[in-house]
Amino acid sequence: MRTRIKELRARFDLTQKELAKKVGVRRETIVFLEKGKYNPSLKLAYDISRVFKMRIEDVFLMEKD
Amino acid sequence: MSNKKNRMRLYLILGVSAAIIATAILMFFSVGFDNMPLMIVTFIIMLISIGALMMTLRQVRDVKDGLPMEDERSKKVMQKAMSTSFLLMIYLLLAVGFVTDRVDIEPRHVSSIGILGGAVFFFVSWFYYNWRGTF
Repeated sequence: MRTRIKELRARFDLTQKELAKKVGVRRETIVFLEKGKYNPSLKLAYDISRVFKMRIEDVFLMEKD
Repeated sequence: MSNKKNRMRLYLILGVSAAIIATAILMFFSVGFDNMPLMIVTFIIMLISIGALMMTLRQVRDVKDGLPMEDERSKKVMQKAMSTSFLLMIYLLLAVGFVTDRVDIEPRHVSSIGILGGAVFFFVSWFYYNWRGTF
């Protein structure tokens, strides 16, 4: 799974720490999400999408096998 | 998690780590450099305690910055590390049980090996899952 978190963070001028604070997770979790090394829960994906005022499928991109 | 619970947990971790490190230092000086296996065990215990202490201090810093002490990813890492270390500890105890027939190991040391092995396995698997990241 790929995410557009890094790109959207830059667009919204948010640091990893600020985004982590907004969605209530540790900064490392945002780092892993940006690297595509962690699959978030539906709640976390929803919360992150809400920060960027987008739909979940526009932030988290599923790659076909 | 509430602030009161966070604080309680921090005090508990800090207290236990400080007690372990103090015991290890006492053991280190009372036994001296003659007993090599005990020195190695003491060194491992100190290493694990210092690691736990450093992790806790990092969490304290994060809590001060308004970030949570733990989240869904850190809980998953903890669960995976716990289950892996438990499984490996059982295998270690089985192996020690098998070896005791051939090598002279005191029965009271078997449980110590199991506990210490469990702690080492937990620490190593925690680092591994934290580094790998995919769940």
